[in-house]
Amino acid sequence: MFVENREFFQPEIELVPVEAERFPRGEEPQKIVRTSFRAATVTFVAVTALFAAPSMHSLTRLHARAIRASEGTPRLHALKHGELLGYEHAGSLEAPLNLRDLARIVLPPTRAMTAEERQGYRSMIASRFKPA
Amino acid sequence: MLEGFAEFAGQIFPAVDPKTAQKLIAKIRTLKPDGSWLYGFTKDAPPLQGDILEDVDFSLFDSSGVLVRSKELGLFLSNTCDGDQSGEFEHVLIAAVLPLDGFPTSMHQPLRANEFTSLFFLPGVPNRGDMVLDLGLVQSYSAEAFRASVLNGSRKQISRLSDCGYLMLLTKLTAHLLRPETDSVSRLKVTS
Repeated sequence: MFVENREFFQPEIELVPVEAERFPRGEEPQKIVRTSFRAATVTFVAVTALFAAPSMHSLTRLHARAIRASEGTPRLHALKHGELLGYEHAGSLEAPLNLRDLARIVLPPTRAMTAEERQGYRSMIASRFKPA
Repeated sequence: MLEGFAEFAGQIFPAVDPKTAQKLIAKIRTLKPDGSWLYGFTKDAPPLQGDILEDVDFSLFDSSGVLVRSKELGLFLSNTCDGDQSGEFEHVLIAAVLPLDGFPTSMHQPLRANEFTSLFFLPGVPNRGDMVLDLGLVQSYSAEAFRASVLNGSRKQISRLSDCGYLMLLTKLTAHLLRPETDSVSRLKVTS
């Protein structure tokens, strides 16, 4: 269920055995990625919530979506440039995260435009773009 | 809202030690993030991925097949190293950045919530206000010409993303370009 292929990760990422007591909901993965929170991480989590999930309903959907997404390892691989999988500085906040948690954080829920919204979008584009 | 999020964050991270979750919640309550956290202008040699620049020409074929053009803000979408001076890459990608006010009012709330797959809300872009990155409106440019226009100042740099803003951009790119196909998609299966 969880990624164990190390080639997807930065060298500093450490895969460690699960401590079952950390997963009270019966969602024990086989491995976790040991990383740590620092100020930037907290910032990212908070801002993600602020702009990507402004309501509890959205966060719930984010949760459900991320559970599905966590099985797609290349999605997380693409984020490695942002150091999201490899915080180096412990700071005052440290915690192990698993990949499912990371996916919950970084993947906002999205949808296609409704027909009405698409019409509005087209009108906006038409008002700005003129024949060459 | 943020207070509610802080409490909820502790519930959705079951892998986090409860004591640490409490520290995180307390920290979030203290920090009170806003849109300004997304930007951090530096004097490093441009362009970096995520830089927002002005006077970028975009052209597209509209629904009638007519070629239309507009000059908009543009976000340097290519990876930073694609735009450096190594000359390895011939072209770079710039995505349109459009004012939120230009969208129908009914779309403002879902835009702010980043509900649309191809659109990314950029709150409070310095000196420009609330903007929307349109990942469906992307223009290719000569890497050499574009880099030169930025370096010689003929194309002004409006803003640069901070670490936090850059992570948000990567998140959006991941969610937009690497999202899984729906179950309704049918592909030829390799059987042997």
